[in-house]
This record gives sequence, C-alpha cells and structure tokens, in this order.
Amino acid sequence: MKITEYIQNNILFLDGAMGTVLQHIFPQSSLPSEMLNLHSPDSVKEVHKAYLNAGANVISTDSFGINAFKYTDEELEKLITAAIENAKNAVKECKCQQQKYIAYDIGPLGKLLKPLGDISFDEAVESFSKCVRIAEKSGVDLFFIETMNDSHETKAALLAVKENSDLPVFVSNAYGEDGKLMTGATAGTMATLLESLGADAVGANCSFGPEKTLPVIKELSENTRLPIIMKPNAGIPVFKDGKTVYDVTPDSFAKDISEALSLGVNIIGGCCGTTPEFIAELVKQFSDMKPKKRNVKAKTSVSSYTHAVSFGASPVLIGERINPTGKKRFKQALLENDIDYILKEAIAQQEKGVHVLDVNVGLAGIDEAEMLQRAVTEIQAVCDLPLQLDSSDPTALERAMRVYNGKPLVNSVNAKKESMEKIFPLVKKYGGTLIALTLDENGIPETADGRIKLAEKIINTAQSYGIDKENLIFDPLAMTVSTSKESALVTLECIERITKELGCKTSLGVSNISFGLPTREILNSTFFALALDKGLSAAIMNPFSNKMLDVYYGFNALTALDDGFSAYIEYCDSESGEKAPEKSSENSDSLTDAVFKGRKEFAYTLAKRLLQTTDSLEVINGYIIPALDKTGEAYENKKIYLPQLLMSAEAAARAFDAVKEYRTGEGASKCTVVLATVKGDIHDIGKNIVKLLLENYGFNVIDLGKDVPTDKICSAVTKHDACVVGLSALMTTTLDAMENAVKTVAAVAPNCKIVVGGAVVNQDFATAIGADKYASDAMETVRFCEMVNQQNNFSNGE
Amino acid sequence: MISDNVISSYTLPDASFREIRRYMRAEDTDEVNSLIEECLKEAEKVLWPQVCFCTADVKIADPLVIADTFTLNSKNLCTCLKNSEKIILLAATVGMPFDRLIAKYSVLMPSKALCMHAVGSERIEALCDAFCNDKKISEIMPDGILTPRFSPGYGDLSLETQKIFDSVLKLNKSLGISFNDELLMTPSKSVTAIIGMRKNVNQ
Repeated sequence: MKITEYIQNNILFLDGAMGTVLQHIFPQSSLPSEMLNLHSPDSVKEVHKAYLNAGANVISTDSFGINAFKYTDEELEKLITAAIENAKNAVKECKCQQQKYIAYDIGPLGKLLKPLGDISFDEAVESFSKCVRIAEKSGVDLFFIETMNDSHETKAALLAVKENSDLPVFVSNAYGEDGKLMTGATAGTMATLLESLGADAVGANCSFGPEKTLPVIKELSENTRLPIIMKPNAGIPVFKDGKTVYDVTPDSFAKDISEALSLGVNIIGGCCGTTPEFIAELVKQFSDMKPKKRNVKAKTSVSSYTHAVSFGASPVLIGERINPTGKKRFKQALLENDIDYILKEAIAQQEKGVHVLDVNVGLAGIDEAEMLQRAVTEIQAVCDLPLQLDSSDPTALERAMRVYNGKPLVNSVNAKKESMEKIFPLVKKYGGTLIALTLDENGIPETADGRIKLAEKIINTAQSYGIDKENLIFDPLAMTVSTSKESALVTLECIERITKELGCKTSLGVSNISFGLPTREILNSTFFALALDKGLSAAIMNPFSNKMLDVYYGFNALTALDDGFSAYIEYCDSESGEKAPEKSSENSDSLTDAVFKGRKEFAYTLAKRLLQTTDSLEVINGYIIPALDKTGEAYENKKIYLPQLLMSAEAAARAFDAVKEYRTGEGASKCTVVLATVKGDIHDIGKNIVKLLLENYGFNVIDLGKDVPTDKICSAVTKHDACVVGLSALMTTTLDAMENAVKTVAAVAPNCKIVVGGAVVNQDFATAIGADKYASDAMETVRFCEMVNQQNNFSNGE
Repeated sequence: MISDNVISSYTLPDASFREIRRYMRAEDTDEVNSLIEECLKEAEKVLWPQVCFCTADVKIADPLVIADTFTLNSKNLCTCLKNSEKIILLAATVGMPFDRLIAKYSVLMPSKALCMHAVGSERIEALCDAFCNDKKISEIMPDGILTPRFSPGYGDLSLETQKIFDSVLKLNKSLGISFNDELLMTPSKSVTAIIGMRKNVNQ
C-alpha cells in the first residue's frame, strides 16, 4: 500500500534518532554520521532494525548530512547508495509484520541562501536534486525533508524532490521556542507554503521535547488540510550536576504525543535523544488508534518568509507603488538598475500599513525577467511583507515565483485560453494565489452576468489543473466611469455576486474607476468604500493617499473588524502627528544648521519652505553643500565622528529630496562612480557610507553591492563610462580579489581612476596592487572623486 | 570525551550605551544616544540570544588535542588555555532576524545601520558574558575558573577551526549558523569561542 493511502486511516510510526544513537556507539569518532554507512554499515543497519523491531513503519536513511556542498558527485553516489542499501538490508532481515517504508532523509545544506547568505536558490535546488536523483534510482518509498530551519531552503528541497521524483514527500521543520523557524517563519506560514507546493505531509521535528512542540503542532493543524508529522526530541539536553542529560522518559514522551494525536496528528516518531525504547512505547500505546479526523477549512492566503496573510476577514491592502507606469523617477531607477530606490518604496509602503506589495518592473529596454527576479530577492532581504508578482510575461513570473520565499500572490491570469494554459501550470508547480481577471478573447464583458460566467470558466479550468478556487481571487475590473457611467455599478454587482454566489474572494485596482476625471481621490475613495461594503477582499491602492486610508480604517472601525478601535486610533494619532505644524520660530537660515545637526525631517521641511522663495541651485550651493562641507571638515578634524557624519549626510539627502520634488529639469551632475565590495566579501557598511556621501555631492553612483565578481565591476565601469571605481574589502582573505579587480579594471578602462579602502587595506597595499588612491575614510573618497571630476571637466574644456 | 550539546537561551541585561558608542566610535551626545535608544527598541523585538555548547577533554601541547580527536596548531591558544583541564566549545548568536534589520537600514539609513552593527556587537558580547557568568557553567568544575574566550581568527588560531565547531556543535541545526566559503558566520552577530576551565589556584 502506498504510504499516502496508509496514512488516511492509520497512525504512522516513524523511527527515532539515528545520529545521537550512533554517537553513543562511536563516542570517539570524528567521522560524520553519514560516513558510517560506508565504514560501519552493520551498525547503521542494526539501528534501523532496532527501530523496525520497536514497531516503526518508516525508517529514514542515515543521510541527513549528505549534500553536494560537502561531497563530490562520486562520493554522493557511494554514500547515498550505501545508506539506502543499509536500510533495505534492515527491512529484509527484520521479521516484524507491520507495514514498512524506507524514507530517503534530506537535511539542511548548512549554507544560507542569498541575499543574506552566499548560495543562490538554484544552486540549493541543484544540490538537493543531485541526491534526490540518486535516491530515486536506488529505490526508496518516500522522501523525508527534515529539521529545516529556513523556509527558503525548505522550498528549494521540496522543489528538488518534485522536479526529480513522483514519490511522496514529507516535510518537517525545526521550530524555536518562539514557535518560529530561525529565519522567522511561523508554523502557519510554513503550512501555507508547503501545502501550496504540494507536500504530502507537514510537521515539526527536533528542537525540543514533545510538550514544547505542541503549540507548533496546534498551529500547523489549524492551517493545513495535510496530514501532520510530530517527531520531537527526547526533551532538551540540560546541564545537571556538571553532566548533560535528556530530561524526557519514553513514558512521558508518549503521554505528550497522545495530546498531539487528539489534535489530529497521525505521523509520529522521535528525533535527537530518542531511542528504539521511545518508539516501542508509542507503538505500544497507540497502534490500535485510528487518526482523528480534522475539519480544516481551505483558506485563501499568501505568505512571506515570516507570516501569512489571509483574505476574507479584514480587507487586505496591496501597495501599488512598485510599478513604473506613469512614474518618471521609477523608470529611471529601473534603467539604471537602482535597486535601492525600489527597496525604499517597499519599506515606505510597509510603514504606511499595507499588507502585500505589488511588484511590477515591466519597462521597455530592460530584461523584465531578470529584474523581477532580482527585485523580489532584494525586497525580501529587507521587507517581510508577502509580494504580489505582477507581470504579463509568463517567463518573468516563473523566474520570480521560483525564487520567491513564500506563497506569492500572482497577478494575473484571465479567461483567455492562452493565459490559463501558461499561468495555471506555474501556480500548480510553484504554489501561489492567483488574481483572476474577468476578461477573455472578446474583451471585458459589459454586464455582470458576462463577467460572472468568465469567473466560472476560470474556476472550472483551474480545477482541471488541480488548483482549488480558494487559490483564486477575482478582479472583476473597474473601468473608468468617464466612458461608461454604469461601470462602477457593474463592478460592484460583480464583487457581491462573486463573493456570495461563487464563494470566492475579490480584488480591485480601485483607482482605475476615476481615470480621465479631476480630483480622482474623491471618486477612488468613495468607490473603495462602496466596494468594501459589497465584500471586497483586497484593493490594489496607493497607501500614500490619506483619503483611501481614511476609508479603510473607518470601514474596519464601523464593521466590527477593529477590536477596541485600536487600529483606527493608532491611525488617527499617526496622522495628527504627521500633520503637526512646524515651529514658526525656526527660519530658513536654519537649513544649514539642520543638515549639520542631522535633523532629517526638519531639513526637508526647511528646504521645501526655502524653495518657495529661492532658486533651487542656490538652495543646494548656498545651504546644503556648505553644511556638508562643514560636517566633512568637522569629521576630518575629529570634531565629530562617523555617526554624526552619517546623520548629517542623511539630513542632506532629505533636503535634496525636497529639491528634486521641486525641480523638474535635471541639473548638471558630476561624473559616474561605480562602487563595489569585492568578490567573497559580504561587508558593505563602509561602501554604503561612501555611496551616501558621494550622492550628496552630486555624483551619479552605480552601486553594485557586495560580493561582486570582477567581470561585473568591469562591465559596469565600461557601460557607464565611470570616472572612478571604488572598491572595498574588509577581510584579508578577499585582498586577492581586490588585487584582481584593480588589475582587470586598469586593463579594460585605463582612464577610470581606482580608489580602494576598507579595514584591511592600507597605502602600501594600494600602491602594490596599482590602485590610484587609498582612502582611509568616506570623506577622503569624496575629496578624491571631486578632484577627478574637476580634472575631467578641465580636460573636457568645461 | 566530548559531552552532549546543550542549547540555552538567555535574557540579556540592559545594554551598555558606553560599549555601543565605543563600537560606533561615537561621542556621548544626545543625538547619538537617542539613535542608540531607537535602535535598541527595534532590536529588542527581533533579538533571539541563544548559545550552544559542549565540554571536552583537552591536552595542552603542540599540537593541542581536543577529546583525543581534533588537533589544533596555535601557540596563542595554548597560552590562553594554560593549565586548563577541560574546555568549553561555545557558539552564540543573536539570531537571523537581526541581520535583516541591519540589511534594511543599510539601504534606508546608514547611520542606523552603523548603530545596529554596534548594538549587535554589544549584545552578542553581553550574551557571551551572561553565559560565562551562568552558575550552571561553574558547576562543570566547581573549584575551577574560566579562561578568557578565544575565537577562531584570534592570534594564530586559524579560521579553519570553525569547521571543528560546526562538526561538534552542529551549528546549523542547533543555532541556525551557517558558514560561507571564507568561513564567516551568518547570522553575522554570532561568536564561536574556546574557553578553558582550570583549577583556581588562589582557593
């Protein structure tokens, strides 16, 4: 019987610890546990047999530590084959009668994925895939991904299994005492992600004893319809009288597991510190039990790497600002690969309280697939909101869905045959909730009846791909009332009928309703209120529109969705804080002082005020730059220190924001400076400081980030015709990479000056590798770039 | 002999502004202190201070031998551990979410990123101090005292030593610590250290 059938009506008993049992058999061994498959196969087999004799249905191969980052392809082949052979021999030799399965055990890689770590998502998938392919060929009954403490790596492992095998796959994570993975995901988040990716069972293992694991199990059981696995430690080792001991006995272990069984858990076993005695106790107490049926309703939800957002209770706000349509500055940022601009938009919207961020980077002249993938990865390094991946290009969507850390909202599919054929398989493979537009080859139906029919067609087709209607959110499309006065009414009727008749959730791009009319916010916010009243589940909107937020918070307060009016009151407080008048006693002359003292928001306000009476160039040259110079000199003379220098630079940047908002034309900017932390080095704070100061001094800065390969630096230098390249290194181990970068840049761009810096760099080293300048701090880099810029202007005859 | 690994979490004492300013190389001004206060408030929501450690027998010689299994060539470490009868292999971290906070402010506000770095450094040292002052640790050798902490990369102790910590303490599994190719740790505010335990000759 297939294991997926068996668990429908039976409690499935997993084995207990392998590593800690072997560690006690070979206390002096420095060999990793998995090597014992080759060096002492009988010992491994005997441990398997002991678990089978205890009554376990599933034995997991001793392969937790096997991965392609630790072993060569040949070693992988040998180790995995041996591990499976040892398990098979145990099954062969065991006379026990229970249903038996061999699981190929997959543990973490011990590496963190980018952007915070150093391996790419696809490298992780490929590492897992190598092992999966060998295990599949050698013959196992299922895959068991376990002890994963990072959601992204868990996704990589699960995807690797799905791409290389049709066997069932169980996934179990290791949660901390706070009920979260080490990278932040809650159990509910993991349930959302893993169910959408097609796991056959989900659960929790390792970390603690069964009692402390119960809250996690409860959260899992409330958030997924999948079977639940519980495989805890025998407590945690504690220090008692100078010795380490596990604090849970087989009997108390079984007692706590019985509580989990009452929650509907039906796959049980043990992790670190457990022995065959623990499993025997479980079998003794629970082998006659049948799994308790759970009644979990399917949810419409999406997730990030920390939390899930469900649709259907309080309306969900989707921030629309990461989209180049109609935004000149955004387009420029995309063309210049200025990812920081996008990140700032993301964080600013999060601070405004949106729940999901739309990410659309489609623009002529850029590689949208590449940019969407990069934007998604980089946004997820700094912002924990779930993302709505928004593109009309299925290739771009697929790349972004693949690397996305969580269950994304995908924008969009429609009732056109071609659209459904391209998008549904992506959602089936990578998981996700889809925005479904009620339009087809004939356009958007004018009537609500027509749009409802298309919605039904989408639901039926999705089902044929194995996608439930809970993973669809319908956008019945708001068309501007300026061309059809009935259009708002039709859309509102659709929202109501999709909600009531089809039992589905809805979303709208609200602002389309007012296109072509003046003072659009009035119409947008009124339409938003009407749509919410009809049951709208989500709105794609501008979170910087106070009128829209007024409606949102007001609606929640009036419809019992805001307990104690806490969100409403907090919103009102924050709004009144923002609108507080500036002190009238402060005059415009204070701008220089505000920048010098690092008073960011005050500098912004003063600059705005000054711009009403003063030419923008005068504001820059007469106020902001002198302040920066004053700060720079004070820093160089050790009268102030780095933090104050930075705070002042940030205040200057805010003052520049005011100037940019005021000035439509661009002033004469200085030459381009390319900045990078060299290959192998992940420290970037020094480089970021240099960037901030250079931008304040008017340089066009191309920031390539950290851990940048030399070829990427060279191509940026030539592409942007940079006058200076600044390279940073903080570790002695990356000095070779710096030397390589300096020599290569000097060869391909002899006119580009090279400045180097960082904790381990000094003048001697800079001279030895052929750099033009060693800068001991950020201000010295600025001075050097100013000098190069002047020389360039002079030689260009300016 | 190497003991089983023990994982413990700690409640940290209040942060030392003086230490944070020292890491920032900043003066004691109102602006700096309010920046530190702001950072600490945010940091406290995500800090997750945890340690994983084990004890092992040690032979102080050239090379130094841990539990008859691992050898280390480091004169500086031998000096630090002089007369130690046992050692503690310690790993400590304030957790991954704190790295995301640093990453966020690296983009948004470098002054805050600088301050967050300093806060993280102060907090991880405070965690190691809390561990060394823990009464349970003194029970390992009731008449003993601890030597100063000695980390891979100090003096002549190679960064390669990180591999021993990883192999013994299973750092990814126990604390979520991973290493890049240059053997740097993520989360960045993590520490590995060897601490000697020797008899207190003054007693």
